[in-house]
Amino acid sequence: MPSQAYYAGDFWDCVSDTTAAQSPATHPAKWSKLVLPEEWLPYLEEEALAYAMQALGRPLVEQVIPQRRVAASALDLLALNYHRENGNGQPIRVFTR
Amino acid sequence: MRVAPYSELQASVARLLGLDPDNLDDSEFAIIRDGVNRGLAAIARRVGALGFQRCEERWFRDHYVDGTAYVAGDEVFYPATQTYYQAVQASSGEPPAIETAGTYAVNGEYWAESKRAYTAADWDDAVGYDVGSQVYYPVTGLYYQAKAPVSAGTVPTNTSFWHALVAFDPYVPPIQTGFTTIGRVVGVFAENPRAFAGAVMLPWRRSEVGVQVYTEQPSVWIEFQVRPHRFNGTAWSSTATYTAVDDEAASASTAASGPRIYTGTASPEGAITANPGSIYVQQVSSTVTQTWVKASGTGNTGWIG
Repeated sequence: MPSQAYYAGDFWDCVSDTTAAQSPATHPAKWSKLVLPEEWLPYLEEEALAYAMQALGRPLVEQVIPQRRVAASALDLLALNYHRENGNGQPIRVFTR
Repeated sequence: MRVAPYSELQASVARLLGLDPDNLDDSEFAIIRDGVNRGLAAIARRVGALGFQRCEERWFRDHYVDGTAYVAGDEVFYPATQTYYQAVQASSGEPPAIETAGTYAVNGEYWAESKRAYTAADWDDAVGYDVGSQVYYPVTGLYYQAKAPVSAGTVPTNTSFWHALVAFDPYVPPIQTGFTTIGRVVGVFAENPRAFAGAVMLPWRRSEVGVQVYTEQPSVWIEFQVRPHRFNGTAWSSTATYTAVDDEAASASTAASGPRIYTGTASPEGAITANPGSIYVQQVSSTVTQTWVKASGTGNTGWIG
């Protein structure tokens, strides 16, 4: 039996066994809406866009490959932010003569 | 941490693709969902523990809630006494312990203190017992608590008067109401490791029911990774039944037609519905267990002990 459902535009995990017709709206205690950390959204948006462009047959050179680069950069930025938040890095300093 | 629903992300991607977010066809929906899943997998690989780690105080059982209908065998944590109890019979509105002049005593008609091991004198057929009395019955090898006044000669297997005590299994279930589902455990601590640098790490191991902790304390702090997100559900169906998500350790054994591991104190034959290949560990007494294997069928028969 499934444990996850797409309902009203979102994905829901079943956290307590349901019987027929028990939806996230009628039995909210039995369901938990899956959410994402907001800080992940910029990267996920770029990555999903790159994947969808390719899947929908958009021009490879003009759209897909540039979008992949944008997604890769967004992931780099996300990873860097996590790295710094955990006390592993110093702010970038720029020296000029 | 601020969070956002999937719908927000899906709408944003759809608009960037020039699609109407409110009228995606099945193919467009699946493409965006797969793209998001691909991104989530990349985050898990790249960011790893940093992005998915949580630290929460957890209890071995849910807290007692006044007014909830409990049935015999239910186990609860009672914050007033910082102790775990098991219901010896059905009740509602009966707290596990009752305070008198600042001292709590077990409400023995309805509850028994849950212990990892019990000690009590052997049942004596010449003795009558008060409510809450505990005895050891050599015939079954189990401990019992009287849930009603017992006249002399009433054997502990008489369920109208006695309740067989179940040894407390100190595990934190991966899914508890109001808490984050526990994924891979990083460590178990006696106090909050994020508040106290010298927090003592406790011995633990993973089992089929949760995170087993060996030290005697009412709660523990668990540092763990949340289950990596993955969106794989299909449109909700009013005719379908759904099962609660399981933790990552157990998920491999909870496929729709796969075997699972069950536990209990009674024989599974005729009682436990399971798929072939499932295993049932019966706690016959505090020191004796018997393992059963589901040899055939998907009903509640076919168990071989």
